[in-house]
Amino acid sequence: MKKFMTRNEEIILLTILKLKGNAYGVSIRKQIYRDTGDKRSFASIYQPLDNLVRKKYVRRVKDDPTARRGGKSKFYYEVTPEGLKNLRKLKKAHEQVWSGIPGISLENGK
Amino acid sequence: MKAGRILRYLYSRDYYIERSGDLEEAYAEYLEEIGSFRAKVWLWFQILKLCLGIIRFSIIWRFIMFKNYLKTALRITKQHKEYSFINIAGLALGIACCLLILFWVQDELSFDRFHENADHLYRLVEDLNFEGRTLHIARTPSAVAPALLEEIPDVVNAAIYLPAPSLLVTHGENNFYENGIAFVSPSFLEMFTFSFIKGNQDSALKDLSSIVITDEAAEKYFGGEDPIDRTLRINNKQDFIVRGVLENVPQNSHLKFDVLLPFAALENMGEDAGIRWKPVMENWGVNFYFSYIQVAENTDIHALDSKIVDFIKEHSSITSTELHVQPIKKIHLFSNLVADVEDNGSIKHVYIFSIIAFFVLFIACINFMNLTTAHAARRAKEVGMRKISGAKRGQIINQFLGESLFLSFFSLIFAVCIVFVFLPAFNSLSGKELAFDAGNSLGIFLILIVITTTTGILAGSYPAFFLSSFQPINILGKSGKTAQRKMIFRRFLVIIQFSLSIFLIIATFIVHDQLHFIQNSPLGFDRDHVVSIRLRGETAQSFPAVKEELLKNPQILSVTAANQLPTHILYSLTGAYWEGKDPKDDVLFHFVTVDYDFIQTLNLQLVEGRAFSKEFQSDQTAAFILNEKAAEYIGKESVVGEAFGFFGRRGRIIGVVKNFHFDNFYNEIKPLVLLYEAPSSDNFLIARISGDDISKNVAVMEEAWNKTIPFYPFELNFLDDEFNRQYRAEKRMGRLFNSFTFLSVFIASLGLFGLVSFMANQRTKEIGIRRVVGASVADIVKILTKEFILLVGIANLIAWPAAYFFMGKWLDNFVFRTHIQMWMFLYAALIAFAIAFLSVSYKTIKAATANPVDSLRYE
Repeated sequence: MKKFMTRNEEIILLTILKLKGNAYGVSIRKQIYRDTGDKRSFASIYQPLDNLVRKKYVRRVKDDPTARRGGKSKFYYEVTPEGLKNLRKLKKAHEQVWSGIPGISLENGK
Repeated sequence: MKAGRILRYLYSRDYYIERSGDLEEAYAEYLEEIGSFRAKVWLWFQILKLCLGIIRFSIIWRFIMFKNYLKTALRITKQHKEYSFINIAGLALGIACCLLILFWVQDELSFDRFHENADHLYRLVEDLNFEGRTLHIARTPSAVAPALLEEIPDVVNAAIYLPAPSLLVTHGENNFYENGIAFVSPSFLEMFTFSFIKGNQDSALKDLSSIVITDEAAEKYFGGEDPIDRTLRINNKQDFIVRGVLENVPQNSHLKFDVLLPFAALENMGEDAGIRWKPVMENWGVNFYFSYIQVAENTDIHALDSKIVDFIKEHSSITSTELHVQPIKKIHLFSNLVADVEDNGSIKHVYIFSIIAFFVLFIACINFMNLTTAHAARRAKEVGMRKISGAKRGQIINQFLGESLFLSFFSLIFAVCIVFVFLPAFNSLSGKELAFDAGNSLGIFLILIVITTTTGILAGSYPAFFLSSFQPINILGKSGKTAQRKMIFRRFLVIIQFSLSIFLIIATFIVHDQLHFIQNSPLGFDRDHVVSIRLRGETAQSFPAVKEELLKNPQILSVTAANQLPTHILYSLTGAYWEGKDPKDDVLFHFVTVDYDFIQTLNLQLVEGRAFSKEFQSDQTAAFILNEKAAEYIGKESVVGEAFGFFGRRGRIIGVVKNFHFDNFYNEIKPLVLLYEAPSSDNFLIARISGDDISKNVAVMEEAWNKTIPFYPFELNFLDDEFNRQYRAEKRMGRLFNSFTFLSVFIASLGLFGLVSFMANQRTKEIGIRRVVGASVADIVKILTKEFILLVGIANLIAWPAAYFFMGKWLDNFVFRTHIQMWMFLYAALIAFAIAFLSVSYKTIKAATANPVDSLRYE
């Protein structure tokens, strides 16, 4: 069985899904900031991104050059079916693991 | 955006476009939001983080691959234990040998450099023109140094140094014959850097009764007590007060002493110190002292030198003598003067040994490369597999280079261990006190690390670049072709290595044969069971009493005295007179003054005439005994009764003794005159004892000595040891040859082993087929061995004439010598063949007995 992806990879993958086709470096970073309040460096975005690409959970797609970026192309990221499959499996495992725990309330530490 | 360009070096093109684009977009937004400066800082921060991330990533991957390479390397090392051991041991031995020699060379080069003024210190030396040749002498008259200081402004300081023979030094119960005594002028300690532990140079040696000792001497006489202001008594007569304690004299100083006495004290000590020449300060005629000067900075030393030459001519009437200056840094390696303080080294030896060191290292490196290469050829399949699983060429290159670097550094560590173990043995061999410490060995280590790295890279480069260039399909496919390489170079190396080994084996035979010859040649006198005692100071006066006491014992056969030991008679004089002598000829006669019974004690053979006898009063002042060589000069059939004059005496020749070796075997036997003289200070008592129970007889002598002379400790030497001491250098050379021979033979066998492993590998299939069609094991061994026998044969042809020539030259140094004999060459050849056969047989027999099924299935 393949290993689960890491929490970072999971966040990135979900963000890509959420952005629905508009997922590239800058937008992913912004979305994560909006969702978590966490201002990440580009390095900590690219590292899990590259891992996801290597694991073939995510695909890179080249766009046409745009003037706003000094004439440099954007690369969009799309989640592959394999990525989705692994994500589902991860979600299921998450629920399974959390459900087994009785006395802990997630509401404000009571 | 300039900053983004850095990313170009980190990413491939696609990624660069994406990431620098992203950064630029975000940067443009920030520029509006937070202003130019903070945006820039943010941008740089982002780039830095990207860089760090990439570096970390690549290191992790390197590490993972490195683990794999290391595992492979360790597996291979384990799998081929004997190969790995031989390979590492060979290189380690080469490096160790090189390291030891470099230590030695460094020590030789460091002589006398520790003085602060080393660059401005010079010694005066004398060129004496004599009998048409020039003698270069290290000693000069005592008046020279003070006069130079006074009259030549460039000379800012001057000192005299005079080592004394051993004197009796006493403090309470501690009573020793001290060998390291020197008389020096007070300025000596200002010029040379011998640092004080206690006291200082202002108080030391200034007054006549002061004495300065080294730490070692302080320990010897005073134990743990503070020696300052305590007294030391010299020759049971004169007291000196310790004014300073110096650090021990470094081993790399040409001046070596333990006790310093003020030069002016010589005047009172006179004969007691065993110094015959009174140190008259105005004396320009007696060159007995070492004179040192310190010159001002920026002195033109050539101008000074010629000034000194003229200067001496003004003061001295002896016009044939010239004085020159010699830098003290050059004394040890660049001078070979008469009557120097110690036997110097030679820059020639430094060169020779450096060449040997690098030659040994070179050969060891080549062998290492050959073995590594031969071995790597087997791993073509591994390379194929790696390539198929996606290894890039660069990775394979790295792997092989890394592996051989790993082995070579392992050898370096091993070498350091070897040096640690063998340093004491090496010290006793070389007569040095070398030590491993970070200060002196850092430079050498850096050199060795460079050499080790180079060897590792070179050794790994063949497999790395050659094997990695193969197409996997060719390696793994049917043809199974591996490296085919011309082996002319390797054969050539094997020949060189064996030539060297054979040369050294022959040289070892010859050196030992000559030593054996020296030990066993008749000297013309009997040195067995002859002992000598130095008659120091006042003990000479008690000689008659001692002699009487000794002769009471029947085990002591005969007692005499002489001013020199019969094994090395050095004193010589011109101005002999006899009837019919051509006044133009002047012959240098050696001479020795002896007591009665000299001839009897040493078993010298009288050719004619008689020995000195108490019955003839005139024997004390007017009788001479000559050796045959001296008698030849007189040129008469029988010389006994001839008139003869020598040593300020006139009289008659009363006897002639057979020639005997009173000098070492390097020199011819020279004319010698024996004269009678009652024993005086610093003569030797010489006695023959019965050989029945030597230790008991020595004890008897000690008892007799202590009875007659209570204060002076009994110290006895055997004449045989004195004789052997002359050939210490030769003995050392013999031992050195032994070690070098062992080393070169070992390295040569390694070279051969490497070659044969390679060849046996290449011919696996051939051997298999031969076996299948009916060749016996012996046949196969013969086929494989034939070639090596040929190589060793050629090596013999090279080594024989070289050994004959060079060792012949060495033997020519000796007037009395052995001869080079055929058996030495034959034995050396035999040994070489045996070694060659042994080192190849393991591999060949293994190859020959291998099951042909395996070897033919090899593909």
